[in-house]
Amino acid sequence: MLKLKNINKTYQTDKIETIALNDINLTVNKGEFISIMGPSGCGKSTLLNIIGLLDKPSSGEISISDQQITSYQDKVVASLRNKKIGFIFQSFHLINDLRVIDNVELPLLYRDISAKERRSLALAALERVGLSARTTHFPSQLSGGQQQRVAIARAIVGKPALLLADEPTGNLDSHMGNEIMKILESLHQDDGTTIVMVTHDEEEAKRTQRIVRVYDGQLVAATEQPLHLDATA
Amino acid sequence: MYRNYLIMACKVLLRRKMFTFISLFGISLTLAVLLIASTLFDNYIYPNGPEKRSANFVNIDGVVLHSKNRNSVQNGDLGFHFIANNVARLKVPEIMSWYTNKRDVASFINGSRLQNSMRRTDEKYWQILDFEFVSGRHYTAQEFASGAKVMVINHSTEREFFDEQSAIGKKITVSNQTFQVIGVVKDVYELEHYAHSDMWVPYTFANTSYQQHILGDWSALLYHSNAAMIPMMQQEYLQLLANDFISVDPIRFATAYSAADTKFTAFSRQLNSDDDYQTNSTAIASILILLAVAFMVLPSINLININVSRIMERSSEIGVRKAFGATSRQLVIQFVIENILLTAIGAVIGLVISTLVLWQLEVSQAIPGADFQYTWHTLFYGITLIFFFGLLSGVFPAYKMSKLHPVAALKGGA
Repeated sequence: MLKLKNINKTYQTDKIETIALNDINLTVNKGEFISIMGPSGCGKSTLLNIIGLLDKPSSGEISISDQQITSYQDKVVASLRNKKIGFIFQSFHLINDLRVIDNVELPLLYRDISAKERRSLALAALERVGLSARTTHFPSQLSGGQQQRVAIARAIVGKPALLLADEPTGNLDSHMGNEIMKILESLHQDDGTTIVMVTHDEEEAKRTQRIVRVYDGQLVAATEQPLHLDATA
Repeated sequence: MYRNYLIMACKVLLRRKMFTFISLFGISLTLAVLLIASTLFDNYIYPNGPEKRSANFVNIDGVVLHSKNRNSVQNGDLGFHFIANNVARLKVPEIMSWYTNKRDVASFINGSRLQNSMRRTDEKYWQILDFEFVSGRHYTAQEFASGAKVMVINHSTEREFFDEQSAIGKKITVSNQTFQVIGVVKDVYELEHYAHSDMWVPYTFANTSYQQHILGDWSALLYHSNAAMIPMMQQEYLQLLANDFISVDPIRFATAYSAADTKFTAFSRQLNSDDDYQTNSTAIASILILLAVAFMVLPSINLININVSRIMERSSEIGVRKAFGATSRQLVIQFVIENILLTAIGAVIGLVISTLVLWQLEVSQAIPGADFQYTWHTLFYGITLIFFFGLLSGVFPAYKMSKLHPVAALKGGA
């Protein structure tokens, strides 16, 4: 499903070169649910951004769904992000001016499908996260947990091969965080969705099949069920 | 997709009311000023009053005279002698008319002194200029030839002298001369310089002393039913002056420079204070267009700034859209659509403002006799310009924003 080979990421400022990721090798199988852990600033979000094609590695190879990424042209990565990847962000990133249903439809706007089909898929996604009664609400009218459920519906509406969650419970209390985790688990178990989740929470990480630990830009360990960890530094 | 864009556009406009107000204010005010200025200009160049046939006539109202040794130069309005001996020899015009500038004249009625403007004209004046008669008629060739003391007045003068009664057949005494009113015309817009006056009388009523002067207060209108003949009339006049100028005094006034002007070239000459008849009207037209463009550049820069900050506020939305598959091009289109919507609203407001201002100018009689009409080309050019700058001010911020790195955008800025 996802293969990272010798991924490096460096940031060049005027005089200093900062190494954000150093020779990362990682394989995530189809249907797997893994978590990435590590201290703040260790590079886990950079890693997630590179997996999500939001950022370009300085060197190395990425394959998603057996398709190697050879071009980072705007049009190419936009299409890949649209069709293969769904994002869930810590701060939800819903568009406050749009209703819930319009927020969920957003990824489908960039596909060649009819308005009717968009609406039907968006309703199905909202039903999947238990929010079919809130379609015409605006994000500001919802609780944090509900907003994150809308964000999950938006992430899954296009049936992406890979779901990337960047600290999805980070802005929620433990009760709501637990609800979000249940939805993610359900998406994994019932729908076979492949999920990569960045988290700070050890308990949540333990609910995933595998924990990948990042320290100073390097993968340092994999725990629980180390199915396909290729390399550690 | 476009419905989504439009919904977003409306929401954004309503959310940031101050930004929206400033943007709309800039757009609508710019368009309103442009429309008012161009309508005034357009109505000046292509009037819809008596000078409505302006495409078919040229006017000569000044001359520069050099002495033989070129030591002395005199310039001024035409004298009757100059017209009768030079302009009158032109062959191309179908109709030629001589008339004087407006001159203030005094009259007394019931002990009160009234002041009006009066022109002396020939009878052909009424053929070239298309006055709208409220009642009566203009003077005939016979009346003109015989020096009849008849007079045409405008509607305001009729009311001034006779209240609500008809002036036809009544007598008005101005400057110790008594005239019988034979016609009343609708008031003329003041910017119709060749037609505007309160009173018109045949110039033949007076003694003939005016006929001796090479400089005076006369003008000549040259008319041809085919507007394409205008350049030929102008050329013929220039050649006549260059090759066959007849002077009242060949030593003092040996060479004459003058021009037969269309409304536009006359305007250009005034604008350029052109005393030697060298104005290039194309250059003036270019300057006017440049001025209009420059006038719109400032609000456009302002709009660009506002748009940049407004769009940057939405960096999270940009990041989300990019993360979910929007290309830079799609984002540019989205934000340009928003800007075009804003511009369109501004254009409508600008149109309303300019209509109200022009209407107010008409009813308040700030410009007497004004009857403004939008012409399709004024509207077309005004709206095209505003959309061009709307597009310009939208594309740059949209482009800048679309180039935002998605990660940076999601974090809330560049």
